Amino acid sequence: MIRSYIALIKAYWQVVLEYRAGMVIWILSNTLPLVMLAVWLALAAEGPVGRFDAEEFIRYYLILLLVRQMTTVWVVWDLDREIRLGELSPKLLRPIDPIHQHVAFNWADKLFRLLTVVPLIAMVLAATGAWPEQAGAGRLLLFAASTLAAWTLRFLSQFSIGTLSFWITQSLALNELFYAGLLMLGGVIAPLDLFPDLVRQWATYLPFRYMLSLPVEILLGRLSPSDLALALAMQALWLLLWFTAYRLLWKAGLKRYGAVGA
Amino acid sequence: MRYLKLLAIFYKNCLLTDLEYRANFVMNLLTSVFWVGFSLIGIGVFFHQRATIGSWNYDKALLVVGLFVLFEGLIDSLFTPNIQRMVEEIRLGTFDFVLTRPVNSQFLATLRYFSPWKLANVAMGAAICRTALNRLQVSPSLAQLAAGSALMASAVVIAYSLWLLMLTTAFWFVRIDNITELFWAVYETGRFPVSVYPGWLQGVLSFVIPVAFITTFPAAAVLGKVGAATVFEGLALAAALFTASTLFWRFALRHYSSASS
Repeated sequence: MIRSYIALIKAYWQVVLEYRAGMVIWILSNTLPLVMLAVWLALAAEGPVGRFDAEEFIRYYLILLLVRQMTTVWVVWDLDREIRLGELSPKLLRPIDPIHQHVAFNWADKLFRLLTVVPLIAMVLAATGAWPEQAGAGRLLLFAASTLAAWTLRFLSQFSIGTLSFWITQSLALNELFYAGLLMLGGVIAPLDLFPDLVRQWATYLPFRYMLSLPVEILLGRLSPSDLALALAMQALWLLLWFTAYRLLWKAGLKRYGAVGA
Repeated sequence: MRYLKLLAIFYKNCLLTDLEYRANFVMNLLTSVFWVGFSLIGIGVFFHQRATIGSWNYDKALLVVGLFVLFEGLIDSLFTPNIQRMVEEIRLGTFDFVLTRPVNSQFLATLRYFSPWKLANVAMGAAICRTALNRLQVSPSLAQLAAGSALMASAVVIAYSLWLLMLTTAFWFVRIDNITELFWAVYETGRFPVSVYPGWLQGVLSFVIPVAFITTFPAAAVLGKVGAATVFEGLALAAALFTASTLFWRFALRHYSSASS
């Protein structure tokens, strides 16, 4: 399995390098956190908003940008196309599950971003003095693990929405609704702390916070131990739920795909 | 005149084709309503924390959001379908069929396709603008309306020219179907009045990538905050960009080595 992954990632790394212009455009298009930062800074010019002053906003949004760059997933578009146009058929003939190809492609892209945009953001963080204080090795490790979990959650949820293409033609529209939820309750429009209590309760139970906001909250170090434990448990729970959804939908979908005589 | 007649035929054809897919219509409408709601929540969160941002209060910012949604609808229905098709056609080599037709290729490539369902955004945007003006109890004078309309017309031309400039690069960078993402990423800044951003960014958004002329300035014109100078700047910018993009298109065509010839 490890060997096939290494081979797949090598192959997709070539693809990433070949389409580097397109890849750079994807990286550059990820500017919404910076736009939001500009707006919040304008608001914070007169004084702190909640517990966020200008420096904290900069810190929050730069880290959010970093997490967002490392958790982008586009698999729903690929899956939708493959299922609709029958491109899935040759992939099913291969000895490994098609999902691994999508994972490998995504990881090749993340490797690209790790080498290009992540050092850039880290440098800006250091240069603006916005690096979170007392961020020790333990917190950084937890941050990395939580980011990986966030990516997995995002991937599994998008993949599950993509498998709906076995039955409906509007899975992309559904994904858009999901994405809007992520922008609102995942901490992009505003840090979740700035929302009213009712919204924050919703955010704790919905998966969006665990796909983007949680790693940022961890690195900023403002979660109490009990809040942290609850958040990590919820992240694990949502991972389990989406994984189950993916397995069930995929099996059911393949049966239907086969029945249409692909 | 001939071109207007052709445009009418194109739009009727697209409308009839899209009417065949009614489920698409429902889904598109739902998504549009959702995104508009999202924009409103966006500014709602900000004005929840502060009563004004600069000289803009909630209702004035609402006007900007209304224009943002309106233009998004216009661009998505008139231009976006053509971008996607053209990039695909260049990649597959079928773009030659566009070039061999007895009409101006720029006209055909950029205006052939039209997505009627996205006009729902135009209607919603207009409704939001209406609501904002009512809440402000502002009735724009004739001069202000004229200024606003002139700026909005130049905004359409500016948006068209920017799209055309980006689209023409497809002749060289063939796989740039995501160039539209870059445009939308910059266009996102148009959600908020441009005075919110720091000075240097305001300059960039006014003259380098003139998003400000698309949403903020038309709103400011209707609210009477804009002088004749800005209106002329808008019209001049529109004319300049249109000329530049058309020249770039012609340049690209001259150097286009298609799939067959």
